[in-house]
Amino acid sequence: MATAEPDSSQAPNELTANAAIDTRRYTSLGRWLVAPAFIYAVIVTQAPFLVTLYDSTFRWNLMRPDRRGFIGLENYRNLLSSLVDSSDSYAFRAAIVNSVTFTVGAVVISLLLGLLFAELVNHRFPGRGVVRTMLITPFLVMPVASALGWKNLMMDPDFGIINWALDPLGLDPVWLSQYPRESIIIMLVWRWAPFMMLILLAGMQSIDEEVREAVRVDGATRWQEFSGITLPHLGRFIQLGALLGTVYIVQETDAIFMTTQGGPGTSTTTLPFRVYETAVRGSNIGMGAAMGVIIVVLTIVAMTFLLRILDRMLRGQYADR
Amino acid sequence: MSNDLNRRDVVKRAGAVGLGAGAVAKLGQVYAQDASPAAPAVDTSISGELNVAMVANPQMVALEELAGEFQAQYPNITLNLLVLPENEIRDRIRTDVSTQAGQFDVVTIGMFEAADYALQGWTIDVGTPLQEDPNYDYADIFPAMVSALSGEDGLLYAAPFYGESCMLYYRTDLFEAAGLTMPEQPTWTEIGEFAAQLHNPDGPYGIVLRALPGWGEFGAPLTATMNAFGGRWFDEDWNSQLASEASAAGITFYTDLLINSGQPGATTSGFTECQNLFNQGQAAMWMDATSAADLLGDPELNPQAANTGFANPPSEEIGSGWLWAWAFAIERESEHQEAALAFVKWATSKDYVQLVADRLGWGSVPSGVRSSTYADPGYQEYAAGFADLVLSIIDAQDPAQCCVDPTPYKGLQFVGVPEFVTLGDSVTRELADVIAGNTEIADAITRIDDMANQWAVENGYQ
Amino acid sequence: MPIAKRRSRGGPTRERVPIAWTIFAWVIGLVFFFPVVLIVLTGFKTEATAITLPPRIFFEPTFEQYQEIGRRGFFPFFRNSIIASLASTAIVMILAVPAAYALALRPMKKWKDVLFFFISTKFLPPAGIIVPLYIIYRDLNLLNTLQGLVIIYVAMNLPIAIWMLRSFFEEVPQAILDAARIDGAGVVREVVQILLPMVGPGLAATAFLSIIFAWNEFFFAVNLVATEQASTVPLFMQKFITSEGLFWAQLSAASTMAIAPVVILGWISQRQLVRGLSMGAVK
Repeated sequence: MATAEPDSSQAPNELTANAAIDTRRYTSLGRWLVAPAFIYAVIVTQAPFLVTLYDSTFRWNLMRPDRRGFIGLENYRNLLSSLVDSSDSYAFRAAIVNSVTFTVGAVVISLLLGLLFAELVNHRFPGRGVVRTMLITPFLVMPVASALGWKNLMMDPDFGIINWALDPLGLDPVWLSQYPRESIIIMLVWRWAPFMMLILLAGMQSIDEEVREAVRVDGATRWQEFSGITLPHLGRFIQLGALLGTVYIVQETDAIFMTTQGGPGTSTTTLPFRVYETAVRGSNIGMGAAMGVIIVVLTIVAMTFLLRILDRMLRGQYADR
Repeated sequence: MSNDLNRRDVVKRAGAVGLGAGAVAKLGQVYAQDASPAAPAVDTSISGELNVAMVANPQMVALEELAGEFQAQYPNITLNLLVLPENEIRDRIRTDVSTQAGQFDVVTIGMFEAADYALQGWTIDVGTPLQEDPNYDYADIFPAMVSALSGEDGLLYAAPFYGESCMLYYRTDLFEAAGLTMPEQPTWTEIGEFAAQLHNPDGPYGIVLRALPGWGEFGAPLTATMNAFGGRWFDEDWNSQLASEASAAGITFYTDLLINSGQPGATTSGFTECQNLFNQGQAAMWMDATSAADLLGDPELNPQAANTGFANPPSEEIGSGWLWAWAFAIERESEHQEAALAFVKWATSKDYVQLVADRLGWGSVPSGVRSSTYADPGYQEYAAGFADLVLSIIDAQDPAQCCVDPTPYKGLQFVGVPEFVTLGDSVTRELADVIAGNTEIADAITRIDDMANQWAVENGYQ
Repeated sequence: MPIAKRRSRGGPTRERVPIAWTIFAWVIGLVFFFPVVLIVLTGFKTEATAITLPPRIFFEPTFEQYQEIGRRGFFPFFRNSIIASLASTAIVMILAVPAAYALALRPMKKWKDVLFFFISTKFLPPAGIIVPLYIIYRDLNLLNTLQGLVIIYVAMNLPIAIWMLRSFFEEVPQAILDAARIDGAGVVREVVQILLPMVGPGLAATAFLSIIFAWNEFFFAVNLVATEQASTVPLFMQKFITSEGLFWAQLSAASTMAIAPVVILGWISQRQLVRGLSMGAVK
């Protein structure tokens, strides 16, 4: 996985294609082997997507079948014009801003923490296995369970343990209403930093031990070893973590669903949650569908962009390959 | 009364009302004096597989507990119960009913949905067959409940399981210590003064109220308060009235009250959170559903039970109106309508009330629906502090008359049209932001007023 | 470059870290692990002790909550979750292995586009398709069935599996493949006898991630299932969030039951997981 080279493999950009591939023959066998998975994905994901595209051209509230009617692109027009309108009446602009904030915030912090954790447990110390086990655990915990645990047991202003611990310091923050965004990011980071640690640890452990030994014999400090050997080697692993993290975190709704329900105000309303509120809770299928379509387009654009940036940032570090 | 311990565990675990051992014994005597209820004439040969969607609240959990009784009576019916928290089950039921998928035979719906589902033809008339059964005693059900759950054709489309209005809970010891007296019929102005006087920023707080965004959470007490101040959501032509003087006064009063004398972090407080605060002695007052009375009266759950007082919901121009029932409806797409009806009849009958009282205690009884419950000596003893008050409050509710000025919609603590969900959710979210201290109330009122008008245009009301 | 190069699985061996390093690592570990400890502990409290102030770490444990959970029937949910995660993961692997092999070693024209297509199927929010899906499932009689869940879980995990596996296959040295081909090995033999053993740890890591995501999935489960026939573990927890009354202790006990299988599985297989994930970096 670590070698995914997402730069060359999936973005429609023309970056470092693997030279080995070009020498291999294009065969029809490949097509046959990909076909089952491809057909499966097309049927299961694209059929509902086509229906979504179709629905997005209707005025259609499930509760009012009598008022259903074709309205062309009006849902899109309303939605896009609300983006520049000051009242942001569909809370769609807020949702875009929140989604970007949460995703970028959670991915960056998770990567940094994951890097720290990985470096910590990649060295030998008493109880290293136990510490690694503890650090991996949050990724394994069901998001619904962890969100409820955070909301009730950790962050509750009256009975939560965090406020109890902060009390001697004279602090009594009301997490989910005063710092809703921070609270959500904390929950996301708690789940995803361990995942990043896993990936980066895998990266670190694939470093040739003899290289490490060599620099250590030369008298390098631990920091020199980290910045000179470990970090450069991790380029592709960081890229991979950022990509996977983005793909998953941008769609995370469990934490929001279980804690803030998008509030207060629209401070934790993300794009997927907004779609849920519109299409499922509000039964507004037409508008919900239009939102879904716009999100797909936005994500494709953002991912392409992200891949390019990451690739440029990390290109130098492929030199060691 | 062979199995006190078991029953007690069951009740306690249901998150509802654990009865003290003494109370159980006493109730046992009371109940033993009753003639055992006449077995209803039922056709027990009905068969089918029934899927029932239910809200995870203590009354429904108690029903889950007693489902075996139903199975024993109808051995050929297989009962599958899906129990989920309110938000999730609502969304789930709405999707299933409106796509006419028929995954559920019986669904739990509220007053908000009943008339509308009937209008769309998604649910069937349950009133007629229930009326035909003399054992069911249809006339025993509160007329306000029947009317609020009926369709435009006057037929009943959902049989009420338990019902509620709202009332004020307060701590008599704190009032006494502060030298205050709760009037029988307090006004919101008085409540505001009491709250300011009793408020301690480290608890107990002057008052706890819901502010968790959602039309059915924050939306309910907010609307009740706004209506009491003479406000309304819309005028007869569906022009938003949220910025009208009376509505704005009510909304501002509510948000100010919470900001100045309410619990911190109110924007994550729904019913449960408020109840926890009250139980923990962190609240001097609390206004919420009357169904909380059953829970607050129990010393095992509420250490403050002995010091808990009950009063009418505060009024201002008019009383704070509130009427709600969870009711069972049958999906038209259901393939087992006969079995479904048998279940609905069983769960909403007088006999079921007795069954719960007998097996789980009066605290778990689905109240607020039948006069006979309130006439029962067992319940009167259990709910001595509040039964009559609840009865008189529910009796005073008229869902067609929510506000001082006329409205184009029905519903007391909500606007009774299906699209209200999105509006109610957005408006309460905006106002929660005020309580969280991120927005000024004046700006928020302008914004929610715009929202309401735009909503009315988009949904074809204006 | 032999694939079986000695890897530094144990990390640096001959160095000693300062004591501060150890302390710091332990503190971080405990802080991150604490919420899990708290959930587990709360499951052994009574509802009343669950909300006492200050929060209690030491208390007399009770099994009251677990008895209640047993009474409300955990097993069907557990069984459904196991079936849904294992069946979906098996299908994912069956579909993904050949596709990843082809994309890595026998690429067709536009293989990059194909790979991007797979990833892009993850861009549409599930909420956006849930109502269309509900209607489609209604017409296909897939609502409230484990098959219905498995179908969607396969689609959910297929992209990441293909992506991961492709990178594993891609790292297999061309020389080994050429040698096998010269020996006249067919595709099947090439894959089964040469490739699969080489990428074994990677396969295991991929399958494990797929199991985690399927086990923990909540949104589709809550929206497509109507009864215990097909309810998975995340739905079981939901039963304990009552809208009235106290429920923290009981919910915590239910949470503990819900997370235990995957957490324990993760603990046992963490070494393999890390090794699998580092597979691709072998040159």
